Amino acid sequence: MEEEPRIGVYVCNCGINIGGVVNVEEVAEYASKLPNVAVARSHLYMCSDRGQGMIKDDIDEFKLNRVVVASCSPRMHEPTFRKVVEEKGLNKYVFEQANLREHVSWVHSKQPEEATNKAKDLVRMAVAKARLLEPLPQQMVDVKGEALVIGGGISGLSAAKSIADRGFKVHLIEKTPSFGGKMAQLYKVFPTFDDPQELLNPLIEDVMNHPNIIPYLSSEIADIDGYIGNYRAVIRAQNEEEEKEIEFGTIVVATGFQPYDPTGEFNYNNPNVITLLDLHQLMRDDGPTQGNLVTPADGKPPRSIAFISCVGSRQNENIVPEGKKPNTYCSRVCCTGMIATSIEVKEKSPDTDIFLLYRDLRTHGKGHEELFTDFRETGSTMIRYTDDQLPVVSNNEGAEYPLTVTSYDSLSGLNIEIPVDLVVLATGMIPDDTASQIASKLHITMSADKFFQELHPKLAPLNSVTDGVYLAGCTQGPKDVPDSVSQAFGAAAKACAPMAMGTVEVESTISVINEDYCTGCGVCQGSCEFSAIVFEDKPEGKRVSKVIEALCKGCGTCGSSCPSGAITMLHFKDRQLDAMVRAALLEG
Amino acid sequence: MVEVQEIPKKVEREFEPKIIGFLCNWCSYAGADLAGTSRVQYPPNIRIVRVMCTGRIDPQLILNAFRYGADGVLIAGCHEGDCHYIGGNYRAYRKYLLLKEFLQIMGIDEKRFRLEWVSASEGERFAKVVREMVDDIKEIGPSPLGTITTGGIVEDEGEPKI
Repeated sequence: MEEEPRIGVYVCNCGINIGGVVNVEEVAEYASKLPNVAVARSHLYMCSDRGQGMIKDDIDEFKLNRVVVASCSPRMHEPTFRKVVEEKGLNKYVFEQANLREHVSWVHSKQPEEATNKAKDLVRMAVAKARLLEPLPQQMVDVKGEALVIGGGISGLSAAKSIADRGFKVHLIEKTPSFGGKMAQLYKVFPTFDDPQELLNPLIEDVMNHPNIIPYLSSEIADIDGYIGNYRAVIRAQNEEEEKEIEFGTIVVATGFQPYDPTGEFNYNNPNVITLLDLHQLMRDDGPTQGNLVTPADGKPPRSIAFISCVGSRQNENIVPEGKKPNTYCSRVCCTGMIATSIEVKEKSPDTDIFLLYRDLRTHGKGHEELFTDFRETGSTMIRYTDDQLPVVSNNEGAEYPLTVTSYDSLSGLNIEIPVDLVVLATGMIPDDTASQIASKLHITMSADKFFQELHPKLAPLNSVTDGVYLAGCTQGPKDVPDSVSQAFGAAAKACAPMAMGTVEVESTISVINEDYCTGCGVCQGSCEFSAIVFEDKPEGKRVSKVIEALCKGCGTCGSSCPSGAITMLHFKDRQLDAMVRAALLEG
Repeated sequence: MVEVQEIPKKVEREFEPKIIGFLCNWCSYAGADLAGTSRVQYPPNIRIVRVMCTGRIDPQLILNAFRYGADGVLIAGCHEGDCHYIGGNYRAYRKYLLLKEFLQIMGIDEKRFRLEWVSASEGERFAKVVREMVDDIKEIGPSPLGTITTGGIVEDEGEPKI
């Protein structure tokens, strides 16, 4: 017999994120009068221990059999609250969430009255669905004990080795012909001034010879799909027609960054205006000049170099070239990178004068401030420019120095002209250009800066929004080497957890077919992308469609295609969705 | 001298369209979330119903939404080739094309029924679609069905039992 629904409604302030716009008390008061609502309350943070405890206590006290939390997106905290109701012995599918933060307070932040009304509507819709929710049996899937690591830079290498060392097989795919990524292109890495090759080579050797790692160089992902525990990809070797299909349980994305392209800024088309990464390549023994520091245009040692910071970082509408969107973020490594490289230049060529043009200087990492002190001891000149008066780099044909940098110095209040041989732009980081393809294939979200978005910036910084896909290194945002490696180890541990468990819980929201209604027409089978529906001959001679539960992904497409209305998509039943629409439009 | 006071005109409340949005969990719902995370502002006229895939949206749900007085219905799903369930969005699109014609025959302006592909990274685009739809519907006014069906005449019929 069906139990009469007894619903608890919990409205979250999310600090001031919701409460600062929506009148949360009013919404809770409103919810308490809705049909079948036994109790409605608000709390500062529903996801906190105390907030969760409130729900648990109420489940006992009010004998609740349905719970509605009106807070953030269900994509964020649905698992949290499902766990709460499960801990009190309820089925996790009797929980429903209304999204008052991403869909209300954050997008209507200047309309508190309308936002509060919308919040009431969303709560009413959630209650309407909750009244019709049904417990569902828990489904489990096996997790294949193999992982895929995308990207063979320092993050990908570290993650791959870390997973392989735990005994799981790793497929490590890199698009270029060699491992090492951007780090391998550097001259020295701060703050220790190690040769990156010396750090990378032993690691690459370990990876290449590891019994658990299958490396794929010069390869790309032609196709990738699946779900946690059961991913599948087609790997294509470039220049070859060869394709290989692999299966794996979890994924670490480590596609890294590429340097910002400063074309059209700071006279970059002049060959003596180069990026910091170019300078590193120039200084390397295996570089184009065998490590001799000379200017690209005339091959002479530079008498003076001007470094310009924040190129492609911390941009705003005023300092972005036309047609480009401003990169508003700080790239985090350029300040220290610029200072460390200046020290290197001074060591290689003590007579070269260095002028450092900076907007602000942030040497935030461990040992970085000490580098700054060392830099100051080189006696180089520092000029602080402002974002409303960017330095101008102009050609100086026929003059003694080929380039002139003109800048306002906000500390002295003077306009300064510096004749130089070489200009080095400390360009920021942007996501690798393969990132957007991978994002759409794996359904990972990207934040506004186009780096991959973590599931939660503080509580789940290594998870992507897709189960079984984890993030490492600059793919998630600008980072230096130590941070990338730390994150890679963390992502590796995350990727190993479901593989070590062997099974994970998955959604029980699948389609079911009412055999009495089914006429055996087979339309649903044609609509199913996963071949999860087959015919079954009943003893009484009737032929009906049947869902293979393990194959059903729960999209519900068959349900909306069935001409007889015989298919029900669990947890998203017609009746449940219709109740929400009706609540939105007719009630209230 | 008698001062003639102007009688204040009755302030007419601007018509605020009621829009139901069926959004797929993987792309467009996440895109709408991103609009929030990025603090993009859009008018508060849309009520979002989350479904796992746009392929799941039964035309009956759309018809009912109009029957219950919706001024507009938005379906938003993954871009072509991006569907989490391979091709659910294409099936949604087929149903959409047919239903759109049917709705027009019923006298429902095509601006009231829209299908858009919005990815998880297109928060700004989601806001833009909502803004456009609200503007369009404000221009054409309330749904012609709205006035005759509101008033709670539609009861939950429950699930058919055998």
